[in-house]
Amino acid sequence: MAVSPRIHEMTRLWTKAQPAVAAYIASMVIDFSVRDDILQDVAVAIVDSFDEFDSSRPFLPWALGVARNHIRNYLRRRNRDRHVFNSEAMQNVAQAIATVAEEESCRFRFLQECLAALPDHSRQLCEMRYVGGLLPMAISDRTDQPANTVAKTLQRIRERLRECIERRLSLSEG
Amino acid sequence: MTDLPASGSSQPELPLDDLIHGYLDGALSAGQIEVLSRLLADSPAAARQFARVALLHSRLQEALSSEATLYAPAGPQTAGSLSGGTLPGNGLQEGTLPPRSPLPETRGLPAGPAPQPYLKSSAETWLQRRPEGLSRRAAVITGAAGLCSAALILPAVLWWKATGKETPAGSLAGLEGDLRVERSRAGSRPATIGMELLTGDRLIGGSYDSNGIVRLKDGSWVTLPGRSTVVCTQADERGQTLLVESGTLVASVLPRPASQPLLVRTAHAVVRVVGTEFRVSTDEVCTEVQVREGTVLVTSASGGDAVEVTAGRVALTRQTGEVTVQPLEPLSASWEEDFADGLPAGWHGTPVAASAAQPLPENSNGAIRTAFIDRYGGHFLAGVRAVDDRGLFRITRTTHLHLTFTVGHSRPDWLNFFVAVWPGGDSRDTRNFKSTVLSDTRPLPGHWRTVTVPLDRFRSWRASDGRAIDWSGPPPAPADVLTTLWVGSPPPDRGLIIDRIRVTPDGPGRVTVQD
Repeated sequence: MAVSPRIHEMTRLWTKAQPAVAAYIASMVIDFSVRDDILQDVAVAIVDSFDEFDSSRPFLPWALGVARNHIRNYLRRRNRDRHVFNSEAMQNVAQAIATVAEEESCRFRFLQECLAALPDHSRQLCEMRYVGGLLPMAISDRTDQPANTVAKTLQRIRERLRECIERRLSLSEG
Repeated sequence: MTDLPASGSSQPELPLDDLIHGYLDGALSAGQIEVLSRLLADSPAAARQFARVALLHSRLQEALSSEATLYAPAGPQTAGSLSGGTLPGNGLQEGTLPPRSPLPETRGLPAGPAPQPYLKSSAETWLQRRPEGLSRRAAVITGAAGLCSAALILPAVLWWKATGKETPAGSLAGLEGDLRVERSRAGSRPATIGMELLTGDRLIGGSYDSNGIVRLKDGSWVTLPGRSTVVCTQADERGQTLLVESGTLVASVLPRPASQPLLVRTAHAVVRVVGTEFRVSTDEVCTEVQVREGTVLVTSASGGDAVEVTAGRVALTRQTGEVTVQPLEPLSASWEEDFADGLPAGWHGTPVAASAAQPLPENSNGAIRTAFIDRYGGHFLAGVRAVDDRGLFRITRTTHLHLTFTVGHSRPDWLNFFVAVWPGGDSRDTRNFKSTVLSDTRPLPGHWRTVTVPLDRFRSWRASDGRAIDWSGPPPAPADVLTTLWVGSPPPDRGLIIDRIRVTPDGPGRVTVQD
């Protein structure tokens, strides 16, 4: 009843790569529910085509390549090409994510603590954006703030979270 | 703010950071997206900057979504940590508060110690109910909060399928809340107490306060608190393997032959039980193993040599496969919360901002107000339960608790302080203590007062006849770890507001008040 080493290997590689693939898809399609749909399709495609993967090469760039094809197909179906990046940009972002994801992997263990330290109004804004999936325009309708103010506030919150993560990381390493 | 890269073929109107954040929030015009697209195509540095923000953006969505149940606006008792038992009564005038009807975590559990009263996470609840015969076994806590989402499930299923036929893995001994069992041929169905579990079955906790307790074939125990998903991928003569797909796993494992280990796998690490007590905390990017007694072996999920981790040390396994071991820092004997950032993680209560109607003390950074908790008998409480598995602070022989507070419209006859501790150097059997501050310490409405209470004034709870509450046991002992702290008063609402709580390792040795 031994586990197939190949399946074991696939599980291990996909588990490690999945957060970066999810981030890549989210950066290309904006809508989180669409991201999840595409991520699911990519997971299935990875399983189906894993025999084609050359295990002497890194897995994440290959998985990101699979994801890029699925994103293109989705965008083609939705006829939204004019709102997205060109091929070179998509390729560069995939390469950058493959590099940065490795560098950043451990930083996100501080994300929950930093989220917990956010003031209430920032937390609520984040929940509208990330749990409710609302874009700044829709948040603006609910908060009576201009949409560009909402967008700027979201940016500041993310920057603050980034600083918090860096601070905690340096403390933990010190 | 990051400057634009010089290699950009055209100068955008917005700085690069603004373009990236605006793009991810869907706030850019088509023209601005084109500008950003060109920048990303032309500049690897811009692409890296984009990647960093995109990773944080995606992680934020996953982290917040995984907490959605905890933060859902479902009334005053949304604090997910309040998952156990009855709240103890005051004992002086109020008597025993109405018990929460019936305790879900007691369903189907083996006979054990009398139910402890309150403030326990599901895991704590279960741990303190462990059968007596399991005093020397490994206690494993594995949390994989957050990601490990549906996309991870598919390979896991295939992995299990490759092992062939299902074999018995254990049975469900207790459950709470929404717990389902997914079996490939039978689909998904609600879990029921006593049902046999097979390899390949996926146990899925559906809500923050759900809990499942499984008795493994060898008599060991496993529990899944909260929104956790675990698959038993192997149970045979070579041992047993549990795959934590998401959430938390708590296990209490009987000693077993080295040739038949229990392995707990996460995305990053393999924890092999070798017969001692240790704790493992895992999120989607790292696994932390703290060893309190004896030795455990930790191996990166990507392979390599097993690393021996001895008592008093902690091992961190990163996604890169690197395993580092360092001394486990002792928990501090001091602690403070001033509510500078609203309601901190793990707290229950309502944040209070300074206003004309509700001024706060000079130099105050914020405050919280007690909130009504119906399910615990209708007290107005504010408090905290440690969000990690280390606790809040270490108790010394002279630990003192200092509470700065006021009341709104009327003075309560007393305040109750409730704490829960883990006995130092022992297992994680939570013990509960109470101290009551009587009327001579209560302030007039609107006046701020600091009351200091030595922890040796707290008394532990005993169940004299299985139901009655008797607060006459000994106080917490030095080296105990305090995990939970609550302050409150019975109805009606007195408008109790807490400005600050401090804990110091020394103090006057008696109850004092200061205006």
